[in-house]
Amino acid sequence: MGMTWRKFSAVVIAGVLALSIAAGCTAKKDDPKTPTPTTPTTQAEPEKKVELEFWGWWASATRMPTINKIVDGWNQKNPNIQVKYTYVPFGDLLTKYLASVAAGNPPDVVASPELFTVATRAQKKQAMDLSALGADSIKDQFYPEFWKAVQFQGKAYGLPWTGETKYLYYNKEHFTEAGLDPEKGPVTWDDLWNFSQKLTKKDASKVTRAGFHPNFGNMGYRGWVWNAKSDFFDARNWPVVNSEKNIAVMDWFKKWTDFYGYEAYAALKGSATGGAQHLFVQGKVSMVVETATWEGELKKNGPNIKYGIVPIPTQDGKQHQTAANSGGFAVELPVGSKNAKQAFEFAKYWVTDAAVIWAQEQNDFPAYNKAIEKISTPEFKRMVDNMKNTGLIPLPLFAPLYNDALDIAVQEVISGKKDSKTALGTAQSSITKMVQDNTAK
Amino acid sequence: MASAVPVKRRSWNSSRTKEAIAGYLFILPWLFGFLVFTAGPMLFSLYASFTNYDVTSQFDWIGLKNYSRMFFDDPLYWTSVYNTLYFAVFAVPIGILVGTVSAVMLNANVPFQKMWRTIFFLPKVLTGVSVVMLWLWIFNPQDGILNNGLRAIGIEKVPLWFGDPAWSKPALIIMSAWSATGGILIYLAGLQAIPKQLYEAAEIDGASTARQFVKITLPLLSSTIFFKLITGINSAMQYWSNALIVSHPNPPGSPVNSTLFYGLHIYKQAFLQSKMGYASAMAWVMFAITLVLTGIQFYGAKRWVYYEGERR
Repeated sequence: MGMTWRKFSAVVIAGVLALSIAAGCTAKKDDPKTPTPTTPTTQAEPEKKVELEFWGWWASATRMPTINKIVDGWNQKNPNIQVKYTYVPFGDLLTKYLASVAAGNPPDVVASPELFTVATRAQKKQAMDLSALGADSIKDQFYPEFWKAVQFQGKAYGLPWTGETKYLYYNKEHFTEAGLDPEKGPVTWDDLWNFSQKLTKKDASKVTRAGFHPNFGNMGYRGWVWNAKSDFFDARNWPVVNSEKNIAVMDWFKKWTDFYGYEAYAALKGSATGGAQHLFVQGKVSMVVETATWEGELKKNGPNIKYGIVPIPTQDGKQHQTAANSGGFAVELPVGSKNAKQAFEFAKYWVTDAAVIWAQEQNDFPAYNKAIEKISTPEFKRMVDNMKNTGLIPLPLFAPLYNDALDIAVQEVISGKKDSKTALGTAQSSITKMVQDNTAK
Repeated sequence: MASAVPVKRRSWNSSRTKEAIAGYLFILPWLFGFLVFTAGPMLFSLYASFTNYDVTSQFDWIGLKNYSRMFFDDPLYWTSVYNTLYFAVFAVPIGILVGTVSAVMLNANVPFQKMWRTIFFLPKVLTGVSVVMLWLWIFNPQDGILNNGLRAIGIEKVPLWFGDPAWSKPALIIMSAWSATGGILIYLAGLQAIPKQLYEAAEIDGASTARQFVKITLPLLSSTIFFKLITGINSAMQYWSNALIVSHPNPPGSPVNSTLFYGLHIYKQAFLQSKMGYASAMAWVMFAITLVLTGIQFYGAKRWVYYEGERR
């Protein structure tokens, strides 16, 4: 017994020693240095050949031809900066990116983390300061809302790649059937309500067709609060979740839910999945907010649906910067990349000329504002026109999970467990606590 | 470890020692992997649990702060403990029941036995997101086969399953009961090992099938059941990835944190909030809880688990 124990402990100690040596190796690289600023490179400057490791999450047969076209095109024109594309599954990208930076052996370019969270990775010293590499000189080439999203303390930590906008889609046949003018979509919140009175159909046990519900589709409570020109954080980034305006929007959610009955609402909501099962495609809802690029899916899954598209209705019927909202994706250079200068050159190409190729072939919307000079489809033009009504609302650094608390408030209000004021009061205190936890060291 | 009793010295070339060395050499590759890839990171996370580690920018010692925050200042922590225990309390016994009963049935001489066994083994082969997606269709509150069936037998107020905090965990437990049949191989092996003559003797003595099951099958299968109990509790405590899939596109743990399992809470803290230190602390508390639960099982096992060839 004594012998084996001693042997065992010896092995354990040896293991721990081996590990601390290993840990020492990584610790050396624990000191991220941002690269020294460089003047923008000129093409003629002789450079030694480098190979860039470029991570992206695309591997499918529909995506790869475009990726290959972009990467091969770049490699032919830039013999000294060869790019090697590596596929990293979507769900693993952020963790692998984080781990590679921690291990001191990151790729050179990462596409594409979300625009919302660029500042988080900037703060955590995971993404490289691109202003030091000259990023600010190209800021005018992007829609301002997207450029704003990659900023942290006045510097750019990513380049905006793609974004989106949102519209209200409505089913023209339902409109005609209900005696509404199919060429006149809703403009105000009141329109949504009044139209829905005519569009909605109920039978004995369920709602077979709902005119509209603000919580269906791709907008959510947050989106409607912004649409109502309100917010959850004030100028000092302090939570103002339970403001009068926000309570009013929540009451509006409740009003819609009560119109159908919670059970009927939840049954519809619970059956809403993507693709061909989408409520709008199924004809179970007549008006819904979805992303602009969703139109492609709608055409594919519901080729016979006659639909109309209008800007997202607002309370007073006037459009404004956050009437619609957008997510989006960035490209980043991880801290520790060995070829930052060359990587930045490729990243610039990726978000400009390459983004145009991507948008043309993959039905996406680039943050690059010159894309309109090369893409002239009516769909694309409509997206560009809606940019003035589209805000990108960044994720507050000190409460990255604040939407979780909001989601609970919404659920509690519409299921009738709490009134809007109480539920948002609870959300206010839990989000305040998140901010306090994250700001305290 | 020093003792007054003189220890008999073993020489280095005694056959026992040689055998021991050979044994260690054989397990060395595994041992190396274990130390470097499992024990090492574990010890590292133990250290990290006393720091504000966020992987990239900070790694400062903060003492027991993570632990005190967990117990006294994070209501969601207790929600996740409750959800996990709820799941374990139902999913583990139901899983064992389903596994045992289906194995006993498949062990009987039924026609198409091989086909049935294949069908029952399928859940082991079919895993991952696609299966959860199929279940989501079954549980679809509006048009799912389950709710349509319930309506057909006259139930008007059908559960909303993943749309209702009260029904989301039961739905996950039903899913886990289905996949429990995938574990039948182990039960079947246990059943095959039961000597036939015991049943023959019981039959001659006039014991009914039910009595044979209770008096012969169950006791002789107890070690298998015990194994399934231990591994079942372990995996139930670590259960969470399905919850992430069923919550989508709502926040992980939806609705209203009813599927926020312990592992999911750890994941959210570690990877969505970069609180790796806090997440490590939670993982270590989970380790301790699991250790205690397993210890209790081993203690209790003396009363009901029977190993063949063992003397009481």
